[in-house]
Amino acid sequence: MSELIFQDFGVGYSPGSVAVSGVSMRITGGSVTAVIGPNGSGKSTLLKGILSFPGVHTRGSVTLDSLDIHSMNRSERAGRIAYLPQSPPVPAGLTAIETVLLGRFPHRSAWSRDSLEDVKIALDALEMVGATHLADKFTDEISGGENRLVNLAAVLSQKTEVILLDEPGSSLDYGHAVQLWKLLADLAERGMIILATTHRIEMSGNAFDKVLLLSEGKSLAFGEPEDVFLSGDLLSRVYKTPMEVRRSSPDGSWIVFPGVSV
Amino acid sequence: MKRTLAILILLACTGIVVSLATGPLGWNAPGQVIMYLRLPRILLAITAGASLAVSGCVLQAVLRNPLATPYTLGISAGAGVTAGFIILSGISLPIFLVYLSGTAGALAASTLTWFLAGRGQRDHSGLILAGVTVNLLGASVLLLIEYMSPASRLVEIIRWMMGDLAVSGYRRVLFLLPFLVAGMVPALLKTGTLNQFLTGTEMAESRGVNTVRERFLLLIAAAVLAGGAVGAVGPIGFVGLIVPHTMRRLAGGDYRRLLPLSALGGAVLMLWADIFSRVVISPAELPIGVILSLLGGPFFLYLLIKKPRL
Repeated sequence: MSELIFQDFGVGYSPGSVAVSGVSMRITGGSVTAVIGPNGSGKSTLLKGILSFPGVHTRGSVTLDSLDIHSMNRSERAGRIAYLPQSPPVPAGLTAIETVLLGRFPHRSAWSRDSLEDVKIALDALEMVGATHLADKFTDEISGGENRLVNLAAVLSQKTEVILLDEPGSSLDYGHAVQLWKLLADLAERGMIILATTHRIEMSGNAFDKVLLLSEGKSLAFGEPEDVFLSGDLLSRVYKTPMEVRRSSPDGSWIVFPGVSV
Repeated sequence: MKRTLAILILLACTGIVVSLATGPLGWNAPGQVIMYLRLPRILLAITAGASLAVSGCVLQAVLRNPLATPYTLGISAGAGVTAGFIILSGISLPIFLVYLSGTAGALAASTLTWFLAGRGQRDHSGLILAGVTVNLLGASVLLLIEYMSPASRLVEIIRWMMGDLAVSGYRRVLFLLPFLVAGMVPALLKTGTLNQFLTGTEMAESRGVNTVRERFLLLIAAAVLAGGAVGAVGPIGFVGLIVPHTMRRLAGGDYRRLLPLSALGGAVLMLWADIFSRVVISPAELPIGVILSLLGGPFFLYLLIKKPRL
C-alpha cells in the first residue's frame, strides 16, 4: 500500500515567502483526505507545492513510499501522481475523448499515436465519471460542469496511485458532486491515495477518512473528521462565523450549518 | 482529416502546375525561365508558407492565444529594423548576408521578448505583453528610419516590408532550407507536448512536461522558422494566423494532425497567393504581402466575431 508522508512541509512563491507551512501528516493508500480551510488559506498552494510547479518554492519534504517526490524526475512523478487543477483551460478544438487521452501522455512518447489500450483506458475513465455520452463532443461546446467531468476522466486515465484534486466538485450540480465523491471513495478502496481540497464538506457525504484544516497558510489540525469537526469551536474560529457540523443518520454523511451557534 | 489532406495535396499539385505556367508565354516560356525563375519561386512559396504557418501554429499553443502569430514575438519589427537600417545605410552586402540580416533581426527581437518576459516561469501572458512591447519599439524605430530615409531608400524599405517572392535561381530557397529543417523537426517531434499546452501549464507540468524548457525550445523553433522566412521573403503577415485556424476548423485541434496539415496549408496558401499576385494586374505584380493582408483583415474580423477554438 502506498504511503505519502509530509514532514514540516511548506510552500512559498519566492525563496523567502511562506504561503503554507508546518504541514506534517501521513496518508496511506486506500484513503481520501479532504483539505479544508477558508479562501486564501493555502489549499491550492499546498497541491502546487507537492508537484513543485515552476515558480513555487518548497521546504521540508514529501515522500511517496520513502522516495522524495521532488527528487523524482517529471515523468516518473507523472506516472505516480495525477493532478486536477481548479479551473484548467478548456482545450479547444479537441473532443472529450481526445482530451481524456491527453492523460495518457506520461505513458507514451511525445509524438506517438494513441494505442488501442490508451483508447480503452480513456473510454473506461469517461464511463467511470458518467460522461460516455460526451466522448465525441468538442470540449468548447459542452458546459463547465461537463468539462469538469472530462478533466476528471483525463486524470483517471493517467492511472496513478495518487490523485490530487483542487476543488473537484466545483461547477458540478448536486447529483454529479455526490457521484464524484462516491467515485473518489471507490478509487480509495482500490488502494489509491486521494487528496482533495474542498469548500463543500456536505457535498462529500462521508467520502473522506481524514481532514487537514488550513488557516492563513498554517496547518491547524489533521486527523479523523470527528476530531477536526467536533473539536470545540475550531471551525467557527477559522471561518470567522458560527457553524455547526454534524453527522447525519443513517449513512453518517457530514452536514454543515454555517451561521448557526454551537 | 483524410479529405482535408487530399484536398490540400490536390491544391498543391494544381498550384504548382498553374504557377509553372503563369507568366509571359505560359508553358511556351524558355526552359531556363521555368527552371530558374518559376520553379525556385514555387519552392520558395512552399517553404516560406510552411514555415510561417507552422510557426503560428506552435505559437498559438505555447502562448495559449488564438491571435498569436509569428510576429507576436516581435519578429516582424526586429526584421524590419535591421532591413531598414541596411537599406538606409546603403551598405552593399553579399546577398546571403542581406537575407541573414532580416533573420538576425527577427531572432534578436524574439530573444529580447524572451528576456523582457521575466526571469521566472515566463508564462504566456508575460510573453505576449513583452512581444507587443518589442513590436511597438521596433515599429517606432522603423518609423524613425523611414523618416530619415531619402525617397529612393524609403520606397525600397516599404517594398521590402510588403514581401517578395520574385527570385532568380535557388539561393533564397537554399538560404531558407536550414531554418525550415531546424524549426520544423523539433516542432513535429513535440506535437504531443503542444497538445499538453492546450490544457494549461499546471496540467502539462503534472503530466511530466517541463513547461519552462519546452516553451523555450518551441519558441526558438517558431522564431527560427519565422526568422528564416522573413529573411528570405520579407515580413509577410497573416499566413501564421489564417492557416492554423482554418486547419483547426477542418481537422480538429490535435497537434499531431494540425501541425503537418498547417505546414501543407501554409504552402498551398502562399503558392496560390503568389499566383494571384502575378495575374491580378498582369503583366505587373502585386506584392504578395498586400494580397495576404487583404485576405487577413477580413479573417481577423471573422476571428473576433466567431470566437473560434484555440
